[in-house]
Amino acid sequence: MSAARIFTPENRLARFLDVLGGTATDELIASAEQRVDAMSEGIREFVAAKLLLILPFADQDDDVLFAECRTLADTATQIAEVAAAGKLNTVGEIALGISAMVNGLLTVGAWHSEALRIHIRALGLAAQAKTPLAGNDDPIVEHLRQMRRTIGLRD
Amino acid sequence: MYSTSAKFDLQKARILVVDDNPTSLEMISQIMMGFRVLKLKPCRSAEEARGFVATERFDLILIDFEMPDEDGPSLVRYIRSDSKQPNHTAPILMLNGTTSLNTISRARDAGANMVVKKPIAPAILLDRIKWIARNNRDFVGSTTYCGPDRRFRNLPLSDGTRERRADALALIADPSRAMSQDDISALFG
Repeated sequence: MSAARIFTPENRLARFLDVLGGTATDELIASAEQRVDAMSEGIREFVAAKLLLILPFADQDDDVLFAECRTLADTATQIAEVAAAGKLNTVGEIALGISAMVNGLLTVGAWHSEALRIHIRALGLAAQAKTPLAGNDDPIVEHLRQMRRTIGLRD
Repeated sequence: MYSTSAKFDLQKARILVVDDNPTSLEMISQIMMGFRVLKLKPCRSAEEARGFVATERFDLILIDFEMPDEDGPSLVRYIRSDSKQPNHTAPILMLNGTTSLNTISRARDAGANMVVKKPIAPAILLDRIKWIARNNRDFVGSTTYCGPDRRFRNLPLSDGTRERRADALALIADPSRAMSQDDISALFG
């Protein structure tokens, strides 16, 4: 067994911090948030397109769900990664739950078709909401989370 | 971990972003432009990124954890594996929507400096960049791992303390539990 080498590499970011003429972090954050806000319409269109791929799975039989679960999880993950920036927090949280359910299959072998269909239907309902939902604090999200805990899955 | 206000000038910073999700990639790019970054290289796959990291020196690399074909931890291990590469010790932030301890551990054991939860909040991302800029963390290089020293500070226990803090034990008790950004940051020291 060879010995481990411990060394201190150059800190490549240090020279950009606390420099003369730098911009205050609050100003940088505000500028970044404005840019993200400007993307919200495009994000909602992206999420809507991805939902069209996911929602039909609610009516598929077990074999199709099982065979296509990786595609389902990848699409749900893509939604979860950006939905909150489009003010679709609840949609994002439910999509994350779908991803967790499929990952549960892949990591601990837990497969629950009905619970997965309920998640997909909940995703469809949340996407149709006329007013913004509460995201992580939404009762729908909490009920689905409890359902996952009941069947032995964690996010 | 949250630090007081600071000033940044990232205009000359060379930053690579790797994410297969085009909307997420655009969002991270917009955040970086909001941070006044001018030299940004966005990539849609680990394969595309491999070409850049082998030839260009970056000051910061952001990598999505979950990507088809080759995932984030695999790309991090590739970057860390060759000491002759220009980005062997570059700061690497991994981005992921799932924050179970298993996921975070995989990122850390691949050699990432930090994990940031998706969807990305600009304030949290900039805070983590600032944290890396302020911490000259040692690297460990061995045959099986290269990356930031994963050990917590090696300090003597307080008088009367017999084991690790109860909150740290609770944090690692359930590896499938989703962790908050603060939990994640605590695991990186």
